[in-house]
Amino acid sequence: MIGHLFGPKSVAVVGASLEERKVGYAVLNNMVTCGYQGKLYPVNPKGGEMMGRKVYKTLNDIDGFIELVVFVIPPLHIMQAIRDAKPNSFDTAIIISAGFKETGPDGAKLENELKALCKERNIRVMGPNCLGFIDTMAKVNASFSAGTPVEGNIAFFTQSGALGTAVLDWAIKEKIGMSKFMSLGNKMDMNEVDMLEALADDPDTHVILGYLEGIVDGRRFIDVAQRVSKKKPIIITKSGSTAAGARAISSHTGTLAGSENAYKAAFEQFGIIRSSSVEELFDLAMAFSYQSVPKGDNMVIVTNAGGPGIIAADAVEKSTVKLASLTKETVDKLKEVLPPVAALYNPVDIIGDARDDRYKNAVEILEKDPNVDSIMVILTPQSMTNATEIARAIADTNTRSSKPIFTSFMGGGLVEEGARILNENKVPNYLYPERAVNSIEAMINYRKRSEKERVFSAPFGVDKKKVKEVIARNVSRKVSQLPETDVREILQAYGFTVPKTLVAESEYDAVYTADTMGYPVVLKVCSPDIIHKSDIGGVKVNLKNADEVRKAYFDIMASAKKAMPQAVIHGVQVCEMCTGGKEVILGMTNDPTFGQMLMFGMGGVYVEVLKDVAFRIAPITGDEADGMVREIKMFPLLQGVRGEAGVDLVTIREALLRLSQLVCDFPEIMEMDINPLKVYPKASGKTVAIDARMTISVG
Amino acid sequence: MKSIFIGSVTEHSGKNLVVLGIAHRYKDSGRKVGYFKPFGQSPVDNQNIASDEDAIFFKKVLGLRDTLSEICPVTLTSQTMGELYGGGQFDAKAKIQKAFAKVSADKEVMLVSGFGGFAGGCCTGYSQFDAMRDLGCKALIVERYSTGERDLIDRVMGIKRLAGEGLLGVVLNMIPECKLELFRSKVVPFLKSKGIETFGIIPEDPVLHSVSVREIAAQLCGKVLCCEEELDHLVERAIVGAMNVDSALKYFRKINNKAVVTGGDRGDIQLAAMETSTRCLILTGDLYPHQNIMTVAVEKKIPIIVVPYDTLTTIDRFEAVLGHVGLRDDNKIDRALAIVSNCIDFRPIEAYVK
Repeated sequence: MIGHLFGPKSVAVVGASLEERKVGYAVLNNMVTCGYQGKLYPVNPKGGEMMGRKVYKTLNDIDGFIELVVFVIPPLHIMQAIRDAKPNSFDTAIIISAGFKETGPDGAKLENELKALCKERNIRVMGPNCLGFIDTMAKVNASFSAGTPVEGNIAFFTQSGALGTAVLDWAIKEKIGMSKFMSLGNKMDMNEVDMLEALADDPDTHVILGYLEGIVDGRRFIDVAQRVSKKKPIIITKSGSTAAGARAISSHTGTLAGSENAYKAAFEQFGIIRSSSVEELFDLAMAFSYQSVPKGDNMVIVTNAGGPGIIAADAVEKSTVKLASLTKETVDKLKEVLPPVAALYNPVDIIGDARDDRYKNAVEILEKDPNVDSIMVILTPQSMTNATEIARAIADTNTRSSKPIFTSFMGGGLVEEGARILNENKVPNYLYPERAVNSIEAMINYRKRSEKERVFSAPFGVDKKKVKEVIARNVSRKVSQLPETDVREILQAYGFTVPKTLVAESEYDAVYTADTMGYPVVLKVCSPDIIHKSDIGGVKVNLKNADEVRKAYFDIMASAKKAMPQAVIHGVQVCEMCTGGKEVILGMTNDPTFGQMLMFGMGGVYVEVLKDVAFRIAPITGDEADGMVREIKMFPLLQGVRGEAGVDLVTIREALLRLSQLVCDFPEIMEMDINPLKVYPKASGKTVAIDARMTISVG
Repeated sequence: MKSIFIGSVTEHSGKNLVVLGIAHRYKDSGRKVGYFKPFGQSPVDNQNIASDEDAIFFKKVLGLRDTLSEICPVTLTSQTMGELYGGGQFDAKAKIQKAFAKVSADKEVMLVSGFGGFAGGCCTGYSQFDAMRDLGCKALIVERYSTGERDLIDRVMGIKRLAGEGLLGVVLNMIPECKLELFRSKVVPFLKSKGIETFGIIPEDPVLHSVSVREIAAQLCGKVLCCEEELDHLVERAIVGAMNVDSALKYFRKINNKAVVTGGDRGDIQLAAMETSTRCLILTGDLYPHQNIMTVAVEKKIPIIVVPYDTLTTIDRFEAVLGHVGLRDDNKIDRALAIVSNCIDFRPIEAYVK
């Protein structure tokens, strides 16, 4: 795990200093001012005394085991200090100092040496090149932050130290309580996965926040995250979701930002809540930290202003949150306490002159409605609105409410004190109702995902040996892009149906083959050099007789020779023409972070132009396969519209599961697509893989 | 002493590959083998003398003591051509015969290399075909597959018509793997029926068409920023990285042993390239990469070369280099020797040399 990072009973600060401009001063000062009660050892070769504590010249001068050592000295001195230290005198270190991998190849070399040294000495390390670590419950501030946040239940780990300082500053100002703060720096040893594992078992932490630019081990990350997210929410801001952001990450950390599709799929699939901005990160943190997760989807809006109430209703409608239908009893009770002009249905408009008593009455009635799972209270400050009193009333109700309450006190100076009171009493308050709805939606989705179990179906009976042979043959020839015939062989070995296909070397052969196969047929140029056959006029479909086949043969040859004169052409493939059905695409890419990622979409123009596709990380469950199919916008077309029969969705699920099994069995497969896969009406029980491509790693 | 003329109709057919293979075979068996090239092209400056590039190469690898002007007596430089245009007399025949007499005096086997078609050298009034005949050589023709088997057969049969009994045999080079069976079962028997012996079928080999990272850096006037010890690796293709990262990764995975040409500011593309089989990064426009990229490159042992050109010019220059750099790298020489040894039947050549 992470050694003695959490709650250390003794801390040494190597490089402690009394010079205020030095990081060694800031760390020691933070440790002292945050009230650390354990043994604190400043280490400096000059010796003497600092902040009322004896200064040790070296780590070896300290008696006994040191649970945590913080290094704030130059890189080469750190190496020496660790080498000189008595064996097993400490097992956890934070290396705040910079000058390692982030400085270039020489620094990277030094970091590798440091890593090897620490591994040899069984020392777990946070950093280097980081802001440090804070554990508010243990009163440890081993960082050079400008202050210490109050105790709370939010833990935050960050790959950017600078962002960390901003978050801490916000938390201190807003009095947002934190349990732990961890700056990961270069992630030489401890990384985000270690943090997730440790925080999962940390009783002080209820909500885990993170800022990441890249993930060291994607597979381990999702394995751990899916376990941890069942215990407590994980909210991550992952930057680099655009081309420009990805470019910036490449130079900031020297890591690939990773495919946005892969991150989106992985986060959704494994229950990680993604915040798209730092503002959203704070919004969600507050919601999860202060309130329990709503038990259902139904929310009621209470407002003193019609417009904001409508804005909130719009936001609800666009989300997965639902507006609760109030019971007759609730409406009757509301009628008793609200003015006649009040709107009694959801949103409940308690009118602009509402004061604290009216808010309190309404909220208490709504809280008891069995159809209501969460409450959002909106306030705009009119001259008669006593926002501060209303905040107190809601805070008071909140302490007794069995349902989570969220507020949106809209405005500036007039609502400032009210907002402060709400925050102090752990009622999440948002400047705008849309942000509140967004947070509630995240909580509801989190609940749903946590309740869901991933159940894998039994693997299909397949001919693994055949695929192994085909791949080995191509690896030995160093062929990355597999010939079409080999791809067909692989697909067949994994239970896919492919159209009957024969190669014809001449127009005579083509006609003879088509006659034997039966019309209509498809002719495709047969060449290992021509991948995009259609693009060069290398495919002719629906050929109904010998004359059409003959003409198609010559047309294809002429087009291919013209477009790619150097290409080796064996002739044409004569393929059985698969008529009817709908075309979908199944794809896979081996993502550098998360591994095999599957893709599903409608074939042809829909995938190329509309990008109407869904992704999941393999292996997938049957539910996830169904989810992919239902996720695309064109799903209604597959279900059948205007009297048209829907397609056999069971066969699509099976095709996706077979593909998942294939790519997981053979990690050498780097890219693959079956495009199109023909799917047929309900209960047909069949699909046909018309065309497919595959790229493998040849070492 | 026996002489074999190794020629072809088309350029870059693989003559040097065959010459190298035969020469090594004889040299290894302790026989005195010489190299002669009547007409030189690709003149390069060798200590202020315009010399043929192949002559320099074979003099070095075979450890020949003959001078370059003896190994290649007629080098067709622009100066030579200027003299010819001006009506100057150029006694190529005398020069060639005199040099050949000198270099072949102490040899048991002479390998005489041609260039281009048989008509090469005609501008001087004396062709390499004339030389072949006058020097008493038999011809071993190397032809490569380009647009199809019919075209190759035409070329080989054309030479047979010209050389007649002087044709010892042919070596068919760069045959696509998928066509090997066709050549073995159909083309070779067909040529034999026309009196043409095929001594070998050499499959297409990406390594032989590759170029070393070192050569790329030199040809592109590039500055190598890291991994100098990795410069002897061979690059088979260069591709441009100018797309988004997801597409780039997909594209890069399809091509092995490649050089990726991209801008110094495209850190995302550089990292994606280094995730796949990449031999070097070529960064255009004199833009240097970030230190973090350098760190990854050093970890993965991938040289980074910064070049002053834009992407288009870089690719143009690269393509001019690729496939035309011959066998100058040690890696390629080893590979060439292995291929020739596996693919050529030396028995008829031995029989002739005896």
